[in-house]
Amino acid sequence: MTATGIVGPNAPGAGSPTSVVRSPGYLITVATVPLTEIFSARVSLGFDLQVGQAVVQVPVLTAQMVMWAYVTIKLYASTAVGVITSFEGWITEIDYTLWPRSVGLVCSGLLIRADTKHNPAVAGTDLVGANGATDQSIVTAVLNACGLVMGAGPGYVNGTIGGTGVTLGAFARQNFLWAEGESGLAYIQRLDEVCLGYRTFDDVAGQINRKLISVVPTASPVATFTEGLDIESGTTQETVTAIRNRVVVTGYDQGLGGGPSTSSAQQISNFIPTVFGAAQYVSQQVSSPLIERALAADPGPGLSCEDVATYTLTQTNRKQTKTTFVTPRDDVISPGDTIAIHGAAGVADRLGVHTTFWVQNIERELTEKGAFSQTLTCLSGVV
Amino acid sequence: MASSFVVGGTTYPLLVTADGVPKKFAADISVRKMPGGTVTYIDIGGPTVHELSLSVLFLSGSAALAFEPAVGQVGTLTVFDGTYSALCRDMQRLSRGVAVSGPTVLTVEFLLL
Repeated sequence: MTATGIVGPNAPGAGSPTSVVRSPGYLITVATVPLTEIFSARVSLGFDLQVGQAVVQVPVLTAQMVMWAYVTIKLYASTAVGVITSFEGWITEIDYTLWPRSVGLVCSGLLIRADTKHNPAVAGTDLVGANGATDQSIVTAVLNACGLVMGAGPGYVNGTIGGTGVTLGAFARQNFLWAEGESGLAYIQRLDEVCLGYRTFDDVAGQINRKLISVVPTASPVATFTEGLDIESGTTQETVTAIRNRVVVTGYDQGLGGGPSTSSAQQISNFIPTVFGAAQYVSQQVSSPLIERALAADPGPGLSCEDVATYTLTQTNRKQTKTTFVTPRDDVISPGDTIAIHGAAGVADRLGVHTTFWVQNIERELTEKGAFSQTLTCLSGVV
Repeated sequence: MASSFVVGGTTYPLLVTADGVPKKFAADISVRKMPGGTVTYIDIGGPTVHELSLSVLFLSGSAALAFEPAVGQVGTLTVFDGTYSALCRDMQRLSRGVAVSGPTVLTVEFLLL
């Protein structure tokens, strides 16, 4: 009889086994009172979420655990030293479980204030004035009106509310009105849709951030994750079905008789099959009255349909790769950061990728068993 | 700090062994091997765990049997690092009919509420 070695997914890899022993922990406060007993905690941030989310499971409700109590959460794998706050926000939901007895404190990030603040001003609020205002100024004004201010207290720090710098509203002032009854977050979303990739979201360190988000990762990853070293599980999907290689943008109608301003951009895609040798185009429509001009060369300030079409095309005319993975590491990573995912031997391996990605969503978790992990959802695009 | 478990008006003194250090926290170690490699992450949980197993020294078999009514009861557990509302949910059994003489160490499990 010949002995047969069993090789499977649990077979040891090459090299010397290495163990990383840690004692994960947390620093969580509710209404400034530190929690001494929790079962588990999870924090989710992402510009797809906008409003950050957190759930803390505790044994019983205590006096300070009330709706809109301010919560700060710091989760770490080894030491709290040097680890910045993972989340700040308010309790907005409380879930009770009979057995095993537990209470879930469901928390919403800072932007929940903008989501629940509906403009009370009759006939709306003019945010641009007679001379227009930049998009970052407009977003800042809305955040301030929602009680989210710069400096101490819930809000943002100087410089984190970025923008295109383009003066908006000089032509279409009435379109930039913050309508009566419209939530602050809905207004910001309406603006972000046309601001050439700028997105507003709850970030780490208990801050609101507005920064440029692109499907094209930057050259310098903030962290590199490698199969066999620090990736516990993961999946990758590559798809070409979402490619849009022609973008048609319709903007503001200046009332000069020519109809709404419009522009389009297109580009051949290497991933869309030709038909009888002819390149094919799949269109995406973008329409917003906040886009005030047709061409970038047209006179006056404001975003142009041409700028929006050109930017949107760089994002949509790509084969998209989405990787979701779990790592035990506790690097502080923000939505919009670039990271690298590597195969074990320096080439694409089990996950099929060996490249840089931009981070769409981060989930940071301390489980009931005391294990720390992060789940990252990452996107990348290839022309 | 003297350890005890108080149920109603009854106080059960607990002589926790190992110099007051818990023998183990239940379900508190997570071992994760990274697929395709040789690295293993071992996370040792602590304050998130709510199940507590104590090694308790009973000076005699009868003292151990005297603790049995506390099993299944909710009370106040005072132990090395604090005071908890706890359910005593299990205790290592002594064999019935077998005389146990002298000191004996048994495992008593609590669920911290």
